[in-house]
Amino acid sequence: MIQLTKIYPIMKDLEKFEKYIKGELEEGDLWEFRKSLEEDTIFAKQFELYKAIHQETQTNKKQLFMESLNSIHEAQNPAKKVRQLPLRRIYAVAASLIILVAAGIGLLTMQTQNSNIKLYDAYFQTESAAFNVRSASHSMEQPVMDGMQLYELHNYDAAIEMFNKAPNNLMGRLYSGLSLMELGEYDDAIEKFNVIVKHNDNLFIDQAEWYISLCYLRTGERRKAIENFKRIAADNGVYRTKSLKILNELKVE
Amino acid sequence: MSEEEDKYSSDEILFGIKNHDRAILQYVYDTYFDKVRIYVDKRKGSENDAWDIFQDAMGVFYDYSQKQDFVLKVSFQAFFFTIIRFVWYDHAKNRRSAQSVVQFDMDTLPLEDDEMLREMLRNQIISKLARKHLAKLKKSCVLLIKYSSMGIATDLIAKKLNYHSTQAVYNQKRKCLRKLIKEIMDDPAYKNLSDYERP
Repeated sequence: MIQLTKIYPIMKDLEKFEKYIKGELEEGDLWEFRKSLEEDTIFAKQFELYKAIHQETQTNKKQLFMESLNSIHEAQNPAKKVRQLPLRRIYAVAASLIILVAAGIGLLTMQTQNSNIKLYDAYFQTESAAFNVRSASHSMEQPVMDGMQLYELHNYDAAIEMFNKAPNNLMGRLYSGLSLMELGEYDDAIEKFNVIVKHNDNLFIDQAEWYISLCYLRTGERRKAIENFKRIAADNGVYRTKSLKILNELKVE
Repeated sequence: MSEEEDKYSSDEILFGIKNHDRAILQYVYDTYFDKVRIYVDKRKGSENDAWDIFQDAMGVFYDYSQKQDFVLKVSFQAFFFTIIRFVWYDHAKNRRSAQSVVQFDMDTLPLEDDEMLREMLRNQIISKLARKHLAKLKKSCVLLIKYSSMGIATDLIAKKLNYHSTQAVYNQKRKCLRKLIKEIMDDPAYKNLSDYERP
């Protein structure tokens, strides 16, 4: 109890915590900070929690590792997979029902596209730029860095403008494509992603292929989408499980 | 060591986990998850407990793998199950059950690794608690903390989230962090962490 009541004065040290994490403490302050970590248990515990919160608000390598592990588990335990993703299940059921009704009233084509859109909505998630910004910031061009920050603030038009200033930067291309997807410009997004795929020697190919497939799904080019998802599912990459799921929901053998 | 384990050496597994090799991850899952399930089942734990424990143990091993000077002095299996015992002990402690069996397991652990392992486990639990309570926090608070963690300039945050000044951003962020830290500290799983206190 005593410890909890001490939270409030100690959170006055937030500025110090932030500066320490950013490596901005001056030498004397740094020495004092380390001394406090050693000698003041409450201070140390507060900082420990602050650090954990700081890490958890960013997409980091460990999170990606844990996500891969989770996707392996989901693939082996389909029953659990359904429990963990009830919305997707609901979308799939809703989409099936919509198709049945549409067949009755002669609107099957339009409704199939509706189901594609629902699937797209279920699978497209705004990708955080945090991990890429932090892991590559030392080598990243300034316009790309600025673009990533604007992207993270959902200011997609301004982000694209920034990315266009560094046309040869593949990370910029990727996030430019993602920004275009957010704006509903799927054909232009595909163009950006295709550059990454054709380059064929970079870290973003998996992501680019996945998002191209989603763009095709969203624009009603079902055949192309399915071909792409099949190709991804045949690989052992990060998006394999998601592609298998989506193919299952598209009722593809 | 079984025939299946020979497919990859312990060092290959360590290297694979360190470098996020999906094939190694799949192999570790295929080889060890069932063993963990059996271990947990024998101690009256559920299927979900087994998955929680497996995930936490993998999280701890991942942290070990990222340490530059870390080398496996025993087989991966022996090391991994040492972690599993620690994680299970923590889990069972929270459920207030199976104490005696667990204490027996703990007694068999190699002492020299205790301190670092407890530290790693503590980090794993704290990360999980941070994630859990962040998920319960108001979205505006999460955004504020997230943008700040990313190093986005405070005036830009103020503009985006409609705060009238940078000081208002700072005050609100502190309020959000206070609430979050209090929630974590009030969580029974955090209170149980006293067992892992550093000397």
